[in-house]
Amino acid sequence: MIAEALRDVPAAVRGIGIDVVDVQRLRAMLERRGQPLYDRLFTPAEQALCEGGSPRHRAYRLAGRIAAKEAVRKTLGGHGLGCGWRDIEIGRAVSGQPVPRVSGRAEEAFRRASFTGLHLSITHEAGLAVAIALAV
Amino acid sequence: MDVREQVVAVMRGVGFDGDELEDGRRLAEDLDIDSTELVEIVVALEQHFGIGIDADAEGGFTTVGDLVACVGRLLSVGTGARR
Repeated sequence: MIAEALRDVPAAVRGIGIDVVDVQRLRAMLERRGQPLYDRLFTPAEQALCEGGSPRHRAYRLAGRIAAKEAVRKTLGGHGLGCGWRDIEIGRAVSGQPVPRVSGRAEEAFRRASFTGLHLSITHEAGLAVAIALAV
Repeated sequence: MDVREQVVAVMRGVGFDGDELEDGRRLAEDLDIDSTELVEIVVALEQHFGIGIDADAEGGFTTVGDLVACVGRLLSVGTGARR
């Protein structure tokens, strides 16, 4: 009876994170430092996902991923200390929805925080990329 | 220039005011360096000194002195541990 009642109750939000990235600032950093900075911030899969299109659109996609990684890291609170950039990968579903994947230290932190799932949304406007993440 | 002076020069090259870059200054709280700026500094230090700073070490950098100590340590062993 209780289980039936709980089935319709939304999962409790256990963590929330939000981040904003200045697209032009990130683009300038990447241009200054080149591939070594790409390789520190993004997995090969993320770099492949962001390829193509104009440099401006590429910069927006990359900035959205940085904002998303930070937003996910913030959901972990103190558990997320020491998580590396590449421990959180932002993939993409067929629908276009961003899909966060955690590995390494982020995966350990995810377990320590007793999270069971992550929801993520990214938007771009007026030179900014914004991401919000909810952990359940 | 010694290691500390070179680290400060690299950070100035990234855009930070050299007068503020004393060893005890905290990167986030005192200098307002965010996580993406920190990773750019780390890559700039790698490129300047020809070293490799482990990604695990990044989270442990709290002060300017931490960066100086890390670079000094890697230079003293001759090569940095690559990621």
